[in-house]
Amino acid sequence: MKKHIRLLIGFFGLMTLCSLALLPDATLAMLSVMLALSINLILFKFLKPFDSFEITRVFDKYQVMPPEDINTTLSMKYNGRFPANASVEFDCRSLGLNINTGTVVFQPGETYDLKKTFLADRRGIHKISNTKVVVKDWLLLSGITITSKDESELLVLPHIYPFETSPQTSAAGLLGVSSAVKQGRSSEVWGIRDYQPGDDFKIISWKAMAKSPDHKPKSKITAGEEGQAITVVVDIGKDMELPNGDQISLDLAADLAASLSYNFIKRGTRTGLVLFDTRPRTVVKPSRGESHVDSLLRNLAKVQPSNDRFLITSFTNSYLDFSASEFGNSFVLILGRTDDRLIESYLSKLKSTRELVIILIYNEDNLERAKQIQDTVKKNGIELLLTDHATIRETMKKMEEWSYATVKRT
Amino acid sequence: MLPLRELRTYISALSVIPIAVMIANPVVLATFASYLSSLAFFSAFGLIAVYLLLKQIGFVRSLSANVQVVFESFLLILPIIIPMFSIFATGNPSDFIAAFLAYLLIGTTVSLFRVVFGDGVGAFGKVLYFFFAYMMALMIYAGCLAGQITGEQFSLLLAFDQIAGIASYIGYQAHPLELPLIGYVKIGMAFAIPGITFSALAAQVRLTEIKDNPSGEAKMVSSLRLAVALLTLGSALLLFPVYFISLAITNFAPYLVTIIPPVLVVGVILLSLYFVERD
Repeated sequence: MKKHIRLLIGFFGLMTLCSLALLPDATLAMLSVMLALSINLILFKFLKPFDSFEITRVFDKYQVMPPEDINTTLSMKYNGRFPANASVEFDCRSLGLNINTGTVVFQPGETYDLKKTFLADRRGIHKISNTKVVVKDWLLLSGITITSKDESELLVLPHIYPFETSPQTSAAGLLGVSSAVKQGRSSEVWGIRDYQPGDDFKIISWKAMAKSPDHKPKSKITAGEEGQAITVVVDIGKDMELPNGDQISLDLAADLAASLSYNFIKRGTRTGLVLFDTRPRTVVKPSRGESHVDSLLRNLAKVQPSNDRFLITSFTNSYLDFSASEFGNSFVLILGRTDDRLIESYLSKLKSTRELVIILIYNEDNLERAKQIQDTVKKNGIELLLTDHATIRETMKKMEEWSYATVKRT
Repeated sequence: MLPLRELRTYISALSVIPIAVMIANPVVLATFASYLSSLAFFSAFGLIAVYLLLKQIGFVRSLSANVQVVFESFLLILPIIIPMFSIFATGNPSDFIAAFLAYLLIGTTVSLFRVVFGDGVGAFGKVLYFFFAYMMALMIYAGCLAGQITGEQFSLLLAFDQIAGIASYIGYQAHPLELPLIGYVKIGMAFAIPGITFSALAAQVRLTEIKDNPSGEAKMVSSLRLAVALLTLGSALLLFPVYFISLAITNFAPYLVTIIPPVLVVGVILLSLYFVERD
């Protein structure tokens, strides 16, 4: 039962008691309070203070790279003729933001501003709830909630770890390959590399092939291109929800994938992204340019662990279906599942067809198994890096070295 | 130097004046003076003081729930149980009446204190305590006055008769007294009614404010003072129809004068409220 109804019933009971006890003064006292309560409720409905609020909510940014502060300003203006009680609130549970002004007495024509800064440190799309204004009567007995349709989202991108060497001084630069991010292929030839399956026949250098001692086909490296495309595959299965430091394994995987993609693209390498569990859930074909980086980062910001688990057998089938012309010959697989006993044997099969580097994310619970996988696949000549929240920078450094080696090889 | 309290506290203090008139008058004070030699009167005070002390130091709260109920009931009933033995032994109810008067006095004092200073008391609590204080003060005054007339110190039966309106509907022959100071009480109540209304409304605002923000300052009550005053004025104005209807009824049905007018006005107001809420 509503508070004001309970109170009115209580007073009615007391008044009846006084009436029946033939105590006129006490009866009038009860009646007076009861009338005041009723007038308060009638005036609240009649004056409609809840129609006179103007609420504006502003965030200074809606897309950030963590950790970053976001400033929010809540501006409230009350245009009613009489004072009104109201509280204004909204929240973002995933970021731990909770704005609640508490009940404030708003005087007619006055403007109230509330500023708050909060830290966006968790990757993902964070929903900011609608702004709710709870307007109460003068005695704070009943209220009406007005919900403004201003629900919004904050996109917190994965964290990006930049490569230590700038593109201008990188191995690519030493090779004489431009780091320009311009799209497409120029006719200007910067170098020659081994032919890779999927290379466009137009860039095959027949002359270089003829001159080479083994007469193996060669491809031209043209301006604006650095070697073959690289595709980053991220395991988004259930195992990725395991805690890893303050985060979960998928947060680390997203940070790694975002960092690698960003750095590769910045260096001019076409980079793609595949999010995989039992099948490819998201496929972003390799490309370059700012809009492509944005697309990759958004996909990585949004991704959450799925209910399925990563299947190495399914991945092997799909992996072979990714054409070299579209996805390139270099793959980075960021994996979180360790309990699949087929992993070692299937990873060996993958290596035999393409250049593959595996980053296995572990935590204290599966460290032993992760090391076991690393030892086994190492014997088959596969590079497998173990990483957790504490070693992510070292992993990035190794990946930077690997990427330069890839360019040199080509 | 004590800090000045809020306006509602002073208004509450003013609105208990009619009750104070019924307690602090020569008739009642003379009766109290005559009980100063009564052991039962003092033992009632003593036992309730012990109870309050134990409660204050946290002893009562330290007991388990069941033991607490038994212990509190025992301590609170004990002052009235002891004189029962004296009635059984001697047939003289004076000790029992003394203990009962002590209860009434303590009850009135506590209720008045809660009306004026009661923190954490809402509108209903304020009015309920006011009602208790008024009823008990009326009983004390009537009982003392009747005691003087009948030659007893305090007439318990006539004290109850003063508030026995309900019983008279089912045939009880009550003998309410015409109290000499009732004229002053009625004049006092003319001011006390808006006073207690203001005080109750302000207490309701403060109670909600405390619930929302326990450590916060009392800002809302002062910000909404005008609104509360407006509501009080509105309710006072609406009491005029009650007055006129009462005048009309007095001539042909005086026993319904406390029932029909308020019920009619409340009915109209609640009906209006129903239609407003429905929209």
